[in-house]
Amino acid sequence: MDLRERVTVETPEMVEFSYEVAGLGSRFTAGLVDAALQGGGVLAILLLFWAGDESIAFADYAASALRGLLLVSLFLFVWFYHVFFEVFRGGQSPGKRLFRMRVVAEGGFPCTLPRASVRNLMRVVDILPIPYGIAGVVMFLDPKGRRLGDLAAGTVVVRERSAAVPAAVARARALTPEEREARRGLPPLEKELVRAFLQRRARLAPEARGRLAADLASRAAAALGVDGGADPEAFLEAVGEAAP
Amino acid sequence: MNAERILALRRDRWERLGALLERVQARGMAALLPGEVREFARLYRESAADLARLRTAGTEAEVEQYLERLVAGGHNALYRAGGEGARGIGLGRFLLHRFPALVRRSAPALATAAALWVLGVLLAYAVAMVRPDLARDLCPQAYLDRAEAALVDRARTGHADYVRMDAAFLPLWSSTLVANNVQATFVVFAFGVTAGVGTAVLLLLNGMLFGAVAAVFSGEGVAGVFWTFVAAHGPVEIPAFLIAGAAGLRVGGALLRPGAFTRRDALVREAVDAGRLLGGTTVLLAVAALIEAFVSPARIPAAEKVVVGLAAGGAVLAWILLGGRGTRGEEEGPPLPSLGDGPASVLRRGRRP
Repeated sequence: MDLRERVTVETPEMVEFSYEVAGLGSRFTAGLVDAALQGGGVLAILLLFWAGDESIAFADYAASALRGLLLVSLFLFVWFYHVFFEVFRGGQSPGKRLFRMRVVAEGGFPCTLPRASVRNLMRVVDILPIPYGIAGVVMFLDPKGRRLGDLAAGTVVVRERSAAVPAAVARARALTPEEREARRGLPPLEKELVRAFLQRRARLAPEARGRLAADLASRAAAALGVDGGADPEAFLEAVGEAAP
Repeated sequence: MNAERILALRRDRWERLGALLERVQARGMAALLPGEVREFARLYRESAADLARLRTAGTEAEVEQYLERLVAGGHNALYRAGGEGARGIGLGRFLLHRFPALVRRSAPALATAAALWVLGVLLAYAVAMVRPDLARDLCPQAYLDRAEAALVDRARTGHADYVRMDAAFLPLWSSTLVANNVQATFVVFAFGVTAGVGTAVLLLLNGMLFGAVAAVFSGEGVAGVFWTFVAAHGPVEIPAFLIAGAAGLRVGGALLRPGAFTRRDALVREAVDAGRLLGGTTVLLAVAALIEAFVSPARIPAAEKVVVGLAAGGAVLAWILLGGRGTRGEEEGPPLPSLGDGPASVLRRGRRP
């Protein structure tokens, strides 16, 4: 049984899909990565700010203006780091990207600017009393692992599935004329047996699988009037309508 | 059609969709050329149909998950929640039309926020009248120092300013002000999620601080120094702070009185509006900080500062009262519907080739 929490979305095309909700642990580690990156950025800006002799810098209007800009960028960096990534980088801050997570609005929609602002401004409440105390409790209680900011903004952090192409898709190809001919020749009963076998073979015990494959292959070969060959399963794949 | 044939016939399209999706997720829809946007939408719809067919035909879990990821990604890129435009309405239209209309619709919350703040001011001022020492305890040391300095200045030169500063400091000081004020504004909003209690307390405290500082300055006999300083930027800064407070109270109100919705749906509806209110507030605060940095401390007659304050305050008032009228239906947009009730619009235009 799958105990992982999911959110299900039905598209306007009436097709359903579901997201797996990201857990507290992985969100915490991703948060640590983001916090480290933010800390590094803040430190860099502050070093620039402190660079140079203070007395000279403050007397100079241009230097003062530059420092003003640095302060504003510091402010933007602290408050809008997450907002930027969530709105303009598909809901993935670098930490979330690293741990394969994504922020989406409920319903599978993207996290828009007002949502991202609310979600991240509420951090100042979520972060209390000790680092993310409230957030931790709320996420623990909420079945979808949302912190206060998520609840208010109507967002969920979901786990991103692997983008790898499955083997069955990679090896799928159109049939050759001979294969198509062979399939046409198979009587309905054998056709159904082979199809059912190919669909279920992964769940069979090895010895049962081998015995069934050999039985079916000889039966199908007899029906087609051909030689079954050395590998019964390969033969069944070739003549049967496999459900990959 | 059986699963094997679906796979054989469709895999090239899925892989193409996957390649486009990778670009969209990294850099948004703008990463696609106009022709590719159309292709992307078509591939998404076809793949959604393939997913439904594959489920009927029966297939490996791995294949289904692969296709689900593609469909989910396409859906996320192409559709928007109802009431949220495809690409936002643009900063100009937002500021001219939507924000003022939103503030007007938040009038009850704004009135409550203003009442709490004024209550704080009056409370602190009244306390100061009876027990001046208590008012001094309410004030941070920096404000007390400023009052002392103003007293000394006036004794020495017959003239006093709220802050004494070299012109070179102004850009730096101004940005510090924006940062501090916006921060205070963000916090007063964020605490709305404590059912509005935190926001109410912060509004009251901020009012009390204002009242206490005013009382200390007038207690020292330099009230004019404080009021002429506040006159120029206060009429912009205080409304901005109060609007953020109203946004926080609306979030709190959704939790206390959700009306026809569940508490969570009500919270999300109010919070998205509140997020927009906050966006406009940030712009107001930037203007206020410019005035605070370049007009308020300037050595110009008090009357001129008052004129600037009145003009700026009048402009804010006119903006809030008049902005977005006459374009009601379109600019305010439909009320935000409950989540997940369908697409608003599908395509955004891609980058020109």
